[in-house]
Amino acid sequence: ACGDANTDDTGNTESGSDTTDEDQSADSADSLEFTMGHMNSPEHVQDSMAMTPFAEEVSEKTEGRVNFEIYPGGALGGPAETYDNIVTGGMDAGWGLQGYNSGKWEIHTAMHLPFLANGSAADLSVVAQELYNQFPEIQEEYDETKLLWAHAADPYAIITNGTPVESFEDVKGLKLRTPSDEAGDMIEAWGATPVSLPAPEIYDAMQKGVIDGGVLPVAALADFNIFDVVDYVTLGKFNTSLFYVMMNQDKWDQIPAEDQEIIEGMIGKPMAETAGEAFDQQREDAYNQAQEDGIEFIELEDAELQKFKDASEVVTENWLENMESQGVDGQAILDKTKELIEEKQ
Amino acid sequence: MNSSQKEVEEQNRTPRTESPGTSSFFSKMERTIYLLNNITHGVAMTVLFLMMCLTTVDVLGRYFFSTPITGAFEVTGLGLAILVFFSLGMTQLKGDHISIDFLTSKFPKKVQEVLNIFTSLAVLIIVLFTSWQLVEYAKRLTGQTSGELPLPLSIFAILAAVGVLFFALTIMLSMLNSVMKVVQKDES
Amino acid sequence: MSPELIGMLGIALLLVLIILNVSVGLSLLIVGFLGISLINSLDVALAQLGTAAFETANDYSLSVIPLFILMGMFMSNTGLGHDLFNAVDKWIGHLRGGLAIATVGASSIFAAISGSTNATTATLARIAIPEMDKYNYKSTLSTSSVAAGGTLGILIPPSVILIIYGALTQEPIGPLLIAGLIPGILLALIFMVTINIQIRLKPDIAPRSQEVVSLKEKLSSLKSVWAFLVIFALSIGGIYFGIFTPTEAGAIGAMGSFLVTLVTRRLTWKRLVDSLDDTLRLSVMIFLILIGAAVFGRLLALSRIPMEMTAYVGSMDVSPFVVLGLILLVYFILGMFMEGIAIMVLTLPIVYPLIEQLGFDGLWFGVIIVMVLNIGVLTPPLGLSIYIISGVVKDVPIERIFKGVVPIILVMVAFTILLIIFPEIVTYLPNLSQT
Ligand code: NA
Ligand code: NA
Repeated sequence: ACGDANTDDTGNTESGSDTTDEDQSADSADSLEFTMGHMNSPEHVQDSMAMTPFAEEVSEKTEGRVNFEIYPGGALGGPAETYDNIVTGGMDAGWGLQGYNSGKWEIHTAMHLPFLANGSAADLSVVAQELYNQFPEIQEEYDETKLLWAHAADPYAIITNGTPVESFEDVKGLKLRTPSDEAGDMIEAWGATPVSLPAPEIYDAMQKGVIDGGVLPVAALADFNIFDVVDYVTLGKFNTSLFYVMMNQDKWDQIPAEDQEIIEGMIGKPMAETAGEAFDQQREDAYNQAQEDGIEFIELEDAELQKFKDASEVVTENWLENMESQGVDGQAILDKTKELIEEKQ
Repeated sequence: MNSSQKEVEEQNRTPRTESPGTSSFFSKMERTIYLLNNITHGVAMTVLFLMMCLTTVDVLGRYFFSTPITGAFEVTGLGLAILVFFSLGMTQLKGDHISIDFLTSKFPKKVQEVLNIFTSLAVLIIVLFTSWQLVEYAKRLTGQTSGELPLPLSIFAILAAVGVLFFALTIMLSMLNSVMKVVQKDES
Repeated sequence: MSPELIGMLGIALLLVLIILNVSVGLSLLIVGFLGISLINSLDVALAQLGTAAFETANDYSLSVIPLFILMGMFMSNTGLGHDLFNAVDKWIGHLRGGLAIATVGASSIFAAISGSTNATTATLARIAIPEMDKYNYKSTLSTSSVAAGGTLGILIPPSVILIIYGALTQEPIGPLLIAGLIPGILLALIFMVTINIQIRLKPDIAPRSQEVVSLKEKLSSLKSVWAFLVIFALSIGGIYFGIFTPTEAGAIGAMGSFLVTLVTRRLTWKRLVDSLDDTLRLSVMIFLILIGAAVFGRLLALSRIPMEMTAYVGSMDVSPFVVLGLILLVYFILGMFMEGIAIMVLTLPIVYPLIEQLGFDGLWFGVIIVMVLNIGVLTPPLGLSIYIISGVVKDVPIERIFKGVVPIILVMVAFTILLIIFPEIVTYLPNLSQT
């Protein structure tokens, strides 16, 4: 990223983190430098196809006044603490999963509910962002930070090694890595055991037999380079997961109004769609690679799939009950989510 | 946890030449600090033993009966946090935190004590900050749960803060010990 | 001040604090805190103290450390470890340094399969070093043989750090893991030879057993070690065959030792309490350093020193081998101050494309970099293996332990050079399996 060891010294700690990397503008006192962290490898599509292009576009459109420097690999904080680090400023901005902070985004995680994920990652991502835009109660869940964009992944499948899941019976007793609370409840409702595990640990856990597999998007095969340890992929659009890219509120407030406006024009739905498309592209590549590697793709028969659906009902019911207890009209949000996803088809 | 052994240690640590008033106050405080850390250390031992049992049962259940324990991983992780923070103080009291004294051990005794006052003060501040910040983290964690089991994370962060606070007390004790030794030598 | 300058001053302050007898973990924490407050702000640095401390400790995969240590404590506090070394002595005590060589072998196997250098070093230090003491081995030899064996764990598969290298670079993980096998085994043998040579040069560091042992005695010495062998085979075999995780293996091993010593009446209430107590204090000592290292590592990330150093070397217009040498030198230096995985995360985005551009094999480089980072656990100021051993053997000054591993470090450097000259040592097996 940088060949120049002589970093400019702004000497001004008030103007945010001055971890300058290269001279973006003639007058560096005007330029803002922000760190943007994520837990994945620098090769991850959300880095290469969403965050990095975003960072470049922001620098360009603000003529070097606002810059994001990306720190991959959890260098500024691991999966569980990413959100807290953004809130407190340990990283100025960052990418993560809502599912890693159970109980934090209970309303928005309507997106996690079973068998809603009927569409591409791009479709689902736009819906995720749209829900945020439409429901003030969802916006409230993000009031500690500035949400830049929310997005979703391509529909999740059951990925296993050793045991193929060809029927509802097959899934019973498997230890499956879960991406979120709701998915965990779903896995439990199937009679399998959910295991919470950060995604970067999946390879090791599958190889050592800690888990039999996981409920994961097909793109994850490539994201986490786990082709080696996967034998079977059972397709079924079981669910999806929510992701965020957000920014520390104070750091956002430091950006001058006119530059904020420029950035506001880029974030939200367009970036959500870009992020979704990145996953769709990755899904495509992962699918092809998996075919080459001899990973078997299993399509469930309708009757079997229905058993999964029936068993999973309870998760949606619980979610609705939970919403009701909090005085939130969960049904309205759920209906809207379904409607928005329908519209995309 | 061996009480007679503990008493010997306490006696070794207690300076003997202060005025009776300070001495009794100091030894009372010292005893309290030992007691608090003994309690948390005892809890940590229990947690460690239970972690061993839980994990064994989980493995056996999974392997022989296909019924692993839901949430075994996260409970183990949280158990680890408890035992780390609850035993920091006892580890300090028994002098087991690693430090390198090959240079300072060559200093005159009094210089060592004065140095210990200053370094302990710096360490005390950072440890108190950490305890305070664990409370702040606990506040930020309010409403968040561990995942498979709805264990409230903030409680664990508060417990961690308590453990670190007791750790801070042991550092304060070491600092006061040095202060008293320096003062005592001044008087002689 | 620029972030780089703050980072450099931080490293200097760290050395000062450590040399002034401040505990290593808290020195790292203090410097990390001060540095982050200068680069970022006081509020950010404060928040890091709470978050990093809690999240470092609340980590399932690290619970392998106390559980393996507990297994070792049960074995050593109840005399199982003693029986084992007694048996080893009966069988190979007549060899020069037989016990030290056996220790290297045992800790290589243990580390290789548990995947945790820390857990292995702590466990084996506790079991092996007191026993070697009894046979009048010099402490430099006994401690360095444990330290050496522990480092092999991340070369011999399964290796978490090679998996992370694969995830960071998209190198295929299967072949990467296989690539570590021959170098790992070779290095274990070289360590054993090194120990033998050391003893030949200075025979008094490891006295030879004088007594003549009959075969009958040899066989009967095995009687009391069967329990150890069963527990060892169970926990290690369990990981190897994918029945359980390293953490679970630790728990099973600890439970096995607990039950065996309970049934054979070796375990008293006091020994149980002592084992739990010893385990906690050793584990917590390690965790305080891990917590400090997490905060300090974040300071180094923000200072951009690792990225700037590697980028600077990469921009130099010299021959590929000089660039490679300098990169490895940078890794060696970073390894003194930082934990291996953190270094890879910060530098590989710069270094990996460069290595490919220079025409080196990415898979081969993964093994090389792991070799070099591995040396870091033996070097001050952040040399966790040494600190762990020092936590077990209280009566040996830490600088003596550091001195003892110098030959081991030299061997590792020489071996790395050997791998550079003969890359086939690394690439032979993976190539074989790919074609
Ligand atoms: Na290994
Ligand atoms: Na080191």
